[in-house]
Amino acid sequence: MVLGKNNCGKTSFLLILDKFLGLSAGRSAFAFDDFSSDFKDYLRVRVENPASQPTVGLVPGISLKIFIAYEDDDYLSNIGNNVIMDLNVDNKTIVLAFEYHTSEESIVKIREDYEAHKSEKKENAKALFDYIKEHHTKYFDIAKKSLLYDHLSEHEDDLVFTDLIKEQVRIDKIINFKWVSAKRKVSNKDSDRALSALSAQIYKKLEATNSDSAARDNFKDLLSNTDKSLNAVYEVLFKGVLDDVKAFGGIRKGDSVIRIVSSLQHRELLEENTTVMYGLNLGDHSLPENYNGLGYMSLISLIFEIKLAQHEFEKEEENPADINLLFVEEPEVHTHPQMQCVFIKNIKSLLSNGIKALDGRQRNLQTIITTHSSHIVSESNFHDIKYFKRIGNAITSKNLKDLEKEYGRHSAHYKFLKQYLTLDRSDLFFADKAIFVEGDTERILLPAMMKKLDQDDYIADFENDVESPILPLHSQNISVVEVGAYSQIFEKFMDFIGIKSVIITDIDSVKAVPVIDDKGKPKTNKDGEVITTLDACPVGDPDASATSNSSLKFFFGVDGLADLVALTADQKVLRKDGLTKEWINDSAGHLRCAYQIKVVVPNTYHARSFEDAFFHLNKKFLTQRVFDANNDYLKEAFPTLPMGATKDFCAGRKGPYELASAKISKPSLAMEILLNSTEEKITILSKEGKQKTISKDFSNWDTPVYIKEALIWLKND
Amino acid sequence: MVEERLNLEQEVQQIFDCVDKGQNFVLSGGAGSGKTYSLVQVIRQGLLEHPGSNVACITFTNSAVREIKHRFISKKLMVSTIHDFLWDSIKPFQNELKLALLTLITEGKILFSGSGEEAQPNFAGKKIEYKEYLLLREGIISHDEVLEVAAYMFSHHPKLCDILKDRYRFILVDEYQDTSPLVVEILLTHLAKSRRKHTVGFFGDSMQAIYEKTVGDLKLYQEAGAVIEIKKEQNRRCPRLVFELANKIRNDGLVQHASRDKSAPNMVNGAVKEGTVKFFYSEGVANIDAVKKILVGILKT
Repeated sequence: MVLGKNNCGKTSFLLILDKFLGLSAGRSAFAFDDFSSDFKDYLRVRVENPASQPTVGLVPGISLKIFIAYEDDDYLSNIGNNVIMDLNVDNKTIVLAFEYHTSEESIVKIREDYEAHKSEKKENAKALFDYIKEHHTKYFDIAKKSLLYDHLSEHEDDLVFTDLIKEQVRIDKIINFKWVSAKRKVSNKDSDRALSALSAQIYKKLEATNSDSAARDNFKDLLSNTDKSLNAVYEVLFKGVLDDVKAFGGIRKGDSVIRIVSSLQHRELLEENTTVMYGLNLGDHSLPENYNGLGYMSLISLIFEIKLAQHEFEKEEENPADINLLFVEEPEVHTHPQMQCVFIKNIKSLLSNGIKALDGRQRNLQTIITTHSSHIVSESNFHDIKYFKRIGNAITSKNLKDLEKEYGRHSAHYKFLKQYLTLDRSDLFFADKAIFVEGDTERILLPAMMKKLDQDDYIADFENDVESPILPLHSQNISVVEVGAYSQIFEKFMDFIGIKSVIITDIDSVKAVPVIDDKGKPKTNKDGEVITTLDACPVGDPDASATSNSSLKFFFGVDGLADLVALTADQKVLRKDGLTKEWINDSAGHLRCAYQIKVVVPNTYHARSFEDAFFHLNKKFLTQRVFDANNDYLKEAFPTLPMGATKDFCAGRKGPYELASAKISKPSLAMEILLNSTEEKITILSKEGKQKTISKDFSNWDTPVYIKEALIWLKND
Repeated sequence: MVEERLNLEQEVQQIFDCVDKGQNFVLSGGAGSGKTYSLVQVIRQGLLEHPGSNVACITFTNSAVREIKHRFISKKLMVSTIHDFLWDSIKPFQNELKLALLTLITEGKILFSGSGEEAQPNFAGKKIEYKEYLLLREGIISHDEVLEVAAYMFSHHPKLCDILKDRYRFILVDEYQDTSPLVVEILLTHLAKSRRKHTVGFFGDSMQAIYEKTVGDLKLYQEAGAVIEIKKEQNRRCPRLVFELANKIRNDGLVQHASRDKSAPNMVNGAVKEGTVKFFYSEGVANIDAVKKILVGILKT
């Protein structure tokens, strides 16, 4: 199963396999636009500048290398024919290399031909790339090779190879590649009978391969009997016409030259006259295919197509290929979430039958599925997942299986992650960015906070007459994941997928306090020293010395409170060092930790928790909502908040820390903040004099600064 | 499957008994006994019983290649001379080929007369090729060297044996008596070390061996159980007097009789042709030309 965010190369992966191995493989399968932009630039330099030199080691075009491992008991008949390159018994890897490439000779030819084109067409001449686009098949050719592989260094040698085209090696005997496109043929149109047509195709395949023939013979017998019956009917039916023909003379009596006979063809019969009907499980009622829901039809069509491909893998007259590769592109298209789950649950058993072979050796069917559906991921095996990741101009594929090794002795963490990611948060695999939060409060409020930031940015841009190239947060594909206090469990995964991420957590300041015994006296150890324990306290408490937040300790490698307080915004951006496997500060890193910081508005303060920071910043909001015009307390505004403590806070008798320390249901508080939010119509004015009225959502409260800072960082690319 | 075998001639049925037991076989038959006819039957039946497999049929000369191809056409049948067959098997493994050649030169099994101080050719950057002539310095080897180097490689590389056996479910050698002992060693000794299933079959007549350095017969291998002899006692082409004369001359214990196939070429109205046997001799070298003249005259009619 191939996953990854958009534009990570999933389709390119499919296309290169199809262009080199698929049914229509060949020179004409390629288009000029398949070349990378780097290569196009290179080609331009080489063609335009005769003095330019080739880059050593560069394949001038497109190349695909397939590494194949074989085992002692594998059948070597096909790869033994010029593909295996050495006889070392420990070397069990072969490397197939495919290229669509040009040559030094052809580059000279392009140069000459293009010069000729320019001097002939003068100002009507095509641009160089347009010219090559049209004629690339003249200058590029396909190469298929087997490369020598060194199993000790685990490297292939590009220079030592067997030319598989010259040796007439049939690669389709080694790899047979087929794919089921995301474009389903079904629709709800009346005329559309795609499933029926598919059933005819399946019949043709069944007929060609050596499948169970009793039913087929029966079918043919029935048809020829029908022919006989129809002939009798036709004789009567067409009697009039035939008599008329006779009337034209030239035909003696009893000398009937013309007869109309029935000739039912078993293949065509299915194509035109089969209707896939949906039984309704209600007695005799059934409906034609296009009367059914699109989702259900898509699913059935998909299964039909997979079955068809499976039959095609069973070749006529010869054994199936050694490797049978079926590529199913986005099976979720047009399918409801529930059906996606059903599909993926059953696809394995559908495919596990493998492929029948003439020689009795069952061949496996390997299937690659690309998907954007978290429902499909949630039902699949974690170990089957390959994550495509774009790094600069390159794509790397990572095995989720390898993550297990990374976790090593923390196998419980890995197990947890595996379950959590597949069952609950598989959207992470498709996300462009991620926010890891401690709990419900942040999760519920983050969408509102992101929207607020987007609106503020929009207003600022409007007022300054600029159009920001940065996408609003709500248009970016961001996953919000609750991880509790366990974000460090996710750290290897964060590094693995490498997407820009923020961890939003609490500073959790603590101080040492003596442990008090039953008599109210401090406990001491045998040396007479007072035993202490770490208790929560405000960050500003003079005795506050450490953090109890294990994630912060983990990521920054410190536990002193002063160290955390001293970190600047830039110092909170991290990257995992490849060698030491430790998170280190790097302002270009992809992970940022956010926790409460010292603020000066409305007054200097350092909160300990989200609630603490929120109350401090939004005292006005709270006061406005919990007191009516008569200054009476409205219990229904924030039923979660204890009245006494809230009143004390609003009146300034107690600080935000005390209110936050009260027993508060966190998810309820978050919901209540949203319920008390109001929108405000404001008119904004640009410097150039443009004016616009917009409605500002959640305008009566502010986002705590440490979160806002992190969101701004996350928003930028 | 077994019923289908009933239509085959008796010797071919015996051959498939060997195939079932995983044994190699040699079909011995005199001139005109129809060995090639049996060979074609084995190919056809082999492909029928092992669909998806390939059969290699190797012969000593190109004209024999044409003869087999003329009788049977299939994509799954590979007909070639023994040299081409072995070369095709070993040539992808250039590194091993070079090492094998150098070893054989050191051991004196392949002679290299290097110019000056060169004791060994330098194959670096060269490709070993098989041609009609020998130029070791340039990596070009010829017929004799192909056999030597192939024998060396098959004895040293089990993977090579695995590959060959997987590629060809049957390897059938026509006119085996004319092949080199090295070839028989590869097919019966080296390949046997690989556990993969396949069958080697030899067709020929030890009494018809015409070259000196060839294997002649497989007696030693038969005694060791590496190959099972099946005697082709039915004769399809020679008249009765001719094969009876042959029976008297042969010293390998083969006694031929008429074919049970009433449509065999030597049958007329359900009975074997009588034929004639004449004995020509000359008294001394002086008259030999006269005898030759008579023989040429007979062959013309």
